[in-house]
Amino acid sequence: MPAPQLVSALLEQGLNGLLSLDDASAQRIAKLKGKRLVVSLAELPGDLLFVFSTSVDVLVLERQPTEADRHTRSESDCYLETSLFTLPELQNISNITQLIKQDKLLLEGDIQIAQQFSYLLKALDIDWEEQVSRHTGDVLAHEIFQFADRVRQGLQGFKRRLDSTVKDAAIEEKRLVAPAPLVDEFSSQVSELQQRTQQLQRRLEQLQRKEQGS
Amino acid sequence: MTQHTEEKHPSAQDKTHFGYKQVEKNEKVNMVADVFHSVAAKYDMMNDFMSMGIHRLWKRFTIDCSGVRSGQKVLDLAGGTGDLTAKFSRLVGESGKVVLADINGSMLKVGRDKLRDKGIVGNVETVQANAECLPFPDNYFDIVTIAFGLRNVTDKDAALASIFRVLKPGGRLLVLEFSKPENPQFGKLYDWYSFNILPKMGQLVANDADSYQYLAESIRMHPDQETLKGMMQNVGFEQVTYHNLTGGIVALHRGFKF
Repeated sequence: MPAPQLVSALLEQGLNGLLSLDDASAQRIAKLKGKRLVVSLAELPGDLLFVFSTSVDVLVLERQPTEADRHTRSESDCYLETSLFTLPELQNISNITQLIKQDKLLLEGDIQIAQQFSYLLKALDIDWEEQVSRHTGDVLAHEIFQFADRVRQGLQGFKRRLDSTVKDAAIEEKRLVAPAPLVDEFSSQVSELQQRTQQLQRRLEQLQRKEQGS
Repeated sequence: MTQHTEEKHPSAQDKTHFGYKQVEKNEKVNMVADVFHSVAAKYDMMNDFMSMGIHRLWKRFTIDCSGVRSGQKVLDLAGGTGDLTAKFSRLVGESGKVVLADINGSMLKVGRDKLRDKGIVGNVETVQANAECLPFPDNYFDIVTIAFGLRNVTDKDAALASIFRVLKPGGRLLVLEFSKPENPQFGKLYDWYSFNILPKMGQLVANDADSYQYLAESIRMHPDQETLKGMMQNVGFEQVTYHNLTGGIVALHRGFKF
């Protein structure tokens, strides 16, 4: 089975599925219509070509293209070569120069294409309750989401209580960790000691210089 | 026996194969047409069922290898229900054009309806055409694809020559077709599946065991990877390569016209 094509199919289906759940996406994707973005991630065996129309098509390109296929990269509107871990840093445009200098990013073409694509996904505003209600009806969907909300709040409360219990046990009962005031006091004592040591070192250096002068 | 060798024997000049049967050449077109008239309505569903959906990945691989660009002209030959056409239509954009061609009117109708339902109309044309004598000018298309269609063509050499004629210099042909499994053991398993399970599935789902028996037989009669490569080279294609998919059950041949 062609595994890269399975990945691109799932990615394409996922992207278009999400975009179809937000009516405002159609307007946002219109700005990218006809644009091509090639993303070369170090972790993947091939490059990904994103072609924007009323939807997103994802193609897999060979990393070492034949002579006849070289144009696909050169004619794309934006080419990004980076790693999965660097991708989130690209959201802040001020990082780009630094990433290029650090050899963490190779960029050709218009970075705005990549940023618009990122915005397209970040701006998704999906009313999941509305989506579920199309299959289950309004009442059941509302009940499901209310229940899910209660579960979420319950879990958050449980996590808070668990954190507090573990903290108390570690600090007060088992004495595995020092309480915060003691740690602060110890830290300030260490800082003071460091300052005094530096002063002493400077005095010693002065005395040494005097000794050498006489 | 392959189509290629068969056509070299003068005594067999007027005969060709239809699955494992020998038939008159002029009969084969109608017999193949009957098969596809019969399966057209359930073609997509059966493809998914028989291949467990993998045919979609084979087609994606074909498009990935096409090097398609915005503004290009693409011919999806024997395009049937328009799977490749739909994607090519978005990839070539408004300035490009995709022609969905098939010899079978029923398949073409299903394809045209499916594309309309998806809202794909602006840059797509549908043409009922015989691959052996394509009704297009010389040097017209940038890309020609023929997916699971070549084995049904009576005179494959004529079809390849016709495709070569309509391709622009620098254009490429992609032939996605059933082929010969690389591993003999896997081949035996595949044969058992093809001749025992496939016709039964055809009977169950499409109420048509004969058409799927023909499908299995026509796959065995189709030229293997190297033979098809040679046939493409013989009509003038250059830099012909093939890529086996799913152990060679299917192969994608690619050739260029320079």
